[in-house]
Amino acid sequence: MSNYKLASSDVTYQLLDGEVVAIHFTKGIYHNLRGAAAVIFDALARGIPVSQVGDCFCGAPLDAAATIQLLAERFVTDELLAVTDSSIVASCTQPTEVSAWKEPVVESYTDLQQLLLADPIHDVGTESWPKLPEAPDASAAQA
Amino acid sequence: MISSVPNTTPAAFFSAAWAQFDAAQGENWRDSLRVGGTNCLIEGKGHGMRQALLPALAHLKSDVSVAPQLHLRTWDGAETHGGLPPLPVIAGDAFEHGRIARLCSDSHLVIWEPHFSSVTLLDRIGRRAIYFATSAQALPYYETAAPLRALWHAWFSSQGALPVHGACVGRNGRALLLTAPAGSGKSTTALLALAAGFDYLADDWSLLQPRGGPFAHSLFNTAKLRPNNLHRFPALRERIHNFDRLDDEKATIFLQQHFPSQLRASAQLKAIVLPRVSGKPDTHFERTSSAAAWHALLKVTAQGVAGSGRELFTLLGELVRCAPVYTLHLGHQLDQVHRALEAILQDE
Repeated sequence: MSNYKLASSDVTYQLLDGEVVAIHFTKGIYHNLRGAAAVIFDALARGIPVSQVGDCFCGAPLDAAATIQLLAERFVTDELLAVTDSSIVASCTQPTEVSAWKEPVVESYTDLQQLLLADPIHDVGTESWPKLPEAPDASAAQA
Repeated sequence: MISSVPNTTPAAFFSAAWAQFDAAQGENWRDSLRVGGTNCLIEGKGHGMRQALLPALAHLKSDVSVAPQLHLRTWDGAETHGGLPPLPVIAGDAFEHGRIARLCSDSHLVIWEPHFSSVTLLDRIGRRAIYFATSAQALPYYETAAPLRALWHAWFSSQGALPVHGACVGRNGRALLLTAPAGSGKSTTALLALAAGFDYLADDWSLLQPRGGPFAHSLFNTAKLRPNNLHRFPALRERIHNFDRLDDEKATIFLQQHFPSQLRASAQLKAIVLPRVSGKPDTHFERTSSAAAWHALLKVTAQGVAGSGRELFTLLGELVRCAPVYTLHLGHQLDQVHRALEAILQDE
C-alpha cells in the first residue's frame, strides 16, 4: 500500500458539490470525477493513506479496496497523482467525512489542449509583427 | 523568418514599447473609465483606435480628474505609422494561449493575438498597459464589441476577479449570470430581460469577482444577436450598428446609445443560470451542480480570452462555489422567460 500526492505543480483540482475537476496544465487534459472517484481522489491528494481511504465511505461494496487501488493507479497513469514516501507524515492522515459509496465515474477531456499547451513560436517575421505573414500565393506555389 | 533576436528582458521590452507611443503620429486623446472598481486612464493616438475601443466601453466613462489605477496607451500602425519594438523572440520560444513566455514575468505580460494582429502588454507593478494593433480599422466586429479582453483578464485576475463568457441581468442590485455555449439562448434570454425592464450588465462578457461578494461588473454595453433571431426583437432593428454587414456579422447594438437607464456597472451576483433551449412550450428552471457551471464556463471563457491560464481554473472554481446554479429550460413561450428569471432572483 502507498501514499499519494499531487503529481506536480502542473496539477490542480477543485472539489465542487462532491465532484472533482482536476487539470494537468502541461498535458492540457482535464478530468471530471464523480461518485466515489471524487472522494477517493480528494482523499489521496490530501495525503490519506490508500489503506484508509475506505474509511471515507459507508456502505462500500466488498470490492471497494480493489476499486480504490485501481483508481489510485489510474490517477498515477494520468499523471494527476504520484506515489510518495509513506514515511513522510501527510498533512491529513484521517478521513474527515464519511460519504455514501456511489459508482465511481472518471471522464477525461482533451478539448482544451490547443489552448492550454505551450506552442513554439513559428512563422513570424520580425518585420511585420504583430501581423501574421501573408499566406503563400496558391498560384505561385503551383508554378 | 526571424533573422535577428534582440536580447531583452520583459521590463526592458515593455519600456521600449511604452516609448513607441510617443513616436506615433496623430491626434492625442484621453478618456477615463471606471472598470470593475479600477480607474483606468486610456491615452490614445489616432481616431480609428478610439472608434474601435470606446463605443463598447462608453457606459463606464468617468471623471478624467480622478487619479488612475491603470494607465493604458493605445495606438495602431496603419493610422499613426507607429509600431512596436522588433519581436524579441527566437524560434521555439513558448507561446502559451497567446502569452509569449520569455517576455512574461511576475509583473509583465505580453499577449499576442495574431489573428487580430494585436498585442496587449501589461506591467502590473507599474500599473501600465499597452494595446497595439496593426490596424484599428481591421479589427473584427467581435473584438470591437468586446475590446481589451486580454487586458481585463490579465489585470483583474491578479486581483481575484475575471472576465467570464456570459450575459448578466438583474433587478435591484442583484444579478444573474447567464452562461452557455453559443446557440443555447444566452443572448436571447438577456435581451428578453432587457425588454422586460431588467437591469443590464452584459450580453457576452461579464467581470465576476468571487471574493467579498460575489459581485458582477459590467465590461461592455454591447448586445449581439444572430441575424436569424432578429425577428424576435423588431424594436432593435433600427438600433443595429452594423446593419449593412449582417451577411457576415452578428447584429451589434451599443446599448449605451439606446437604453442607458437600464445599464448597471455592478451588482451582487445572486445565481449562475445555464440556459438550454428545450424545444417545449413552457420555460422552467431547476437547481444544478456547481460542476456543471464550471464546465459551462471553462471552455467558452478560455476560448474567448487570450492569455487566460491557470488562474482562470482557480477563479472559476471559486466563482461557482459562491453562487447557486440553475438550469433554465427555455420554451417557445418567450413571455415566460423573464418571469423565470424573476423567480430565480427570488429563490431561496
